Amino acid sequence: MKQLFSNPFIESFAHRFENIYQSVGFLLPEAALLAGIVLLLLLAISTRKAYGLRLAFWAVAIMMASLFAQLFFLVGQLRSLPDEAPLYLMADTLCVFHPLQIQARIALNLGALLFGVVFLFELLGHYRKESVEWLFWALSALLGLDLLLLSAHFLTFYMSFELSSIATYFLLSVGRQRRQHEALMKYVLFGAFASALMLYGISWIYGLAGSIEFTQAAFWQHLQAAPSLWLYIAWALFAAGVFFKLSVVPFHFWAPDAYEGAPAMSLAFVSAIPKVAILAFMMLLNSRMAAFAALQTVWGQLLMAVALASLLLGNFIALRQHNLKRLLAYSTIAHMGTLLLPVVAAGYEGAEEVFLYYWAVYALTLFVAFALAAQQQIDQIADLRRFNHTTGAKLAWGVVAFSLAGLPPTAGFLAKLGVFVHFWKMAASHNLALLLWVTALLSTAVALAYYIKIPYALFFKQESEAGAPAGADAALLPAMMIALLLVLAILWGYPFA
Amino acid sequence: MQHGALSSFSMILLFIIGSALFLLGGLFAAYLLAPRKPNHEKLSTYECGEQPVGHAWGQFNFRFYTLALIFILFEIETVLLFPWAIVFGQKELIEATQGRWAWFAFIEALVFIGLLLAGLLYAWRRGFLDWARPRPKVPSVHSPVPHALYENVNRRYSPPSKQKA
Repeated sequence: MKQLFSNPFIESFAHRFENIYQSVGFLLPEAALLAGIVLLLLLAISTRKAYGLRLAFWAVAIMMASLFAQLFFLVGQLRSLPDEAPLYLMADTLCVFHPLQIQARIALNLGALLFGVVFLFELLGHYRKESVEWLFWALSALLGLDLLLLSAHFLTFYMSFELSSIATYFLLSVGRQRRQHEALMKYVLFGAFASALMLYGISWIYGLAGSIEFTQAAFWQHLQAAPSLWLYIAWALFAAGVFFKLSVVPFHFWAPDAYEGAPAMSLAFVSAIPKVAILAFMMLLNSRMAAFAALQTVWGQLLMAVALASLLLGNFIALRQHNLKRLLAYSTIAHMGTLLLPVVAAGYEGAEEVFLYYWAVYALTLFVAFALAAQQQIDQIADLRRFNHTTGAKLAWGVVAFSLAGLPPTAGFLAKLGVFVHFWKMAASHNLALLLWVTALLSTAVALAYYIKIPYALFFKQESEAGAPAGADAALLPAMMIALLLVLAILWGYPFA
Repeated sequence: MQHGALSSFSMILLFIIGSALFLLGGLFAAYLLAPRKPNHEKLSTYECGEQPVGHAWGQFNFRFYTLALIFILFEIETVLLFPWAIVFGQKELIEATQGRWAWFAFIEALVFIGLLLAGLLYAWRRGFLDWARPRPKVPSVHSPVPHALYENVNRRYSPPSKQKA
């Protein structure tokens, strides 16, 4: 055969290959997930019957096994992390070993495990038909998000982003109610549009920097040399896809409709889990451009503008909502605005802890809310009055409202306090950041007005004793336990230094 | 290397310009040289005889979509496996890595094909590959009038020439 490659290339190839070969072991967590996905696929075709209790049991067992295997490998990676400065280790276009990255992957894994537990409970109670498919798509979304955090190249980033997006579309389509189709169509079309914009943004970045390997210092150096107007265009286009996933303001239109139509468990997954990966990725990106002040200004201004708009719009439109799921959608938009604060201030010490804590509290609260709403098929806030709730469920609803609003007896308060205290470090010396800080604080006060509607409907406007009794649901027990945990978290005190 | 990657786009631009020129040149030569004797058949959209009926926005069977998706999957596999096969067998690369490259690339391709196969197996087992065969519905009429009566009527009123045949 003719020699295709030049000798210098072959020499560098040997080195590069050695690097890849040595780092394959770091992909074990993803291998565990992939094995779980393939096993689920094979399980689905192992019998003629598409659904069945035994099948569902095996599916949950496979999911839990692969998640536990992934957790085991991830914890191993976190423990073997060196104490010094963050280390990047490359496996071709993937990159592993940064504390925040591994922590975010563990957070993803734990979030998915929570859903696995709920399905286990569900098998003991009544059993829904779509469980097996659901688990398959949930694991696929998780794999996409996991690879997204690992990516060191915008193309790998885009591929994993799309993997998680497509899995998310299917997660929301499980159940197939009629009302769902419109919302789902909006979500899919809007998602396709946003990811096309992102791809266009990536091509701009490629044009400006001559490369899209964003772990290389040369990439940032070339990018910094570009005119700032072009940088704004490139980053804004790139951010379109990211902002769509986060459902922050210019790209939030899909959220209320999708929330209204979709099944509650899928929503709890889609609205909480992907966000930690995307936000952690943005934080990592932010820390990579730390040495390039001009770039960080552009990126920071973009994020701050979006956070500002999300906080204002999310909170003020939520005031007018009567539908519970729509209210939660606007509340998500506002919470994402708040979560962007530690991302913007990623350069200041302690951003990672504040961010992960806030996300965890937000995700758990949202999980409790959706589990409670699913249990009674509650649509409107006014519906809350009609049911005869158990005291436990009432208290859990109260915890949800207080935690989302950030009121004292719950972990939501600690999370909000942590974010505000941390962001002050940046706001003290930066005008736009100061504006954002004040807006975030004031909009938190506005938010009280609509969150309080939930406990008000439950405790003060209960219609009659003869309301329909709330049926038992699998997710109820985990939901109550998490609600208790959200209150007990206050006992540990202020968790940040 | 950074700007080397960018400048390799000039090759692509050359290819685009070259292929456009090649195409236009061929058309222009045909315009100069070809005899023009149009008739009805030659002017039809598809000279092979396919009649374009209706407009392009008409509905067509949803199943085309599933089949097209599965087809694309294997198209992509081919697109990947061609360069893989070229690079995989390079003796210099295998020697430079003491033979490990060959095993690595081989196992990588096996995993890739295995995943695709699992997907195909799923589609097959779930029946996405079965084209819905039209089942002709034979109409059956339960008439109180006996069949022989119709035949008698036909025999009686049909023209005599046909009756003989």
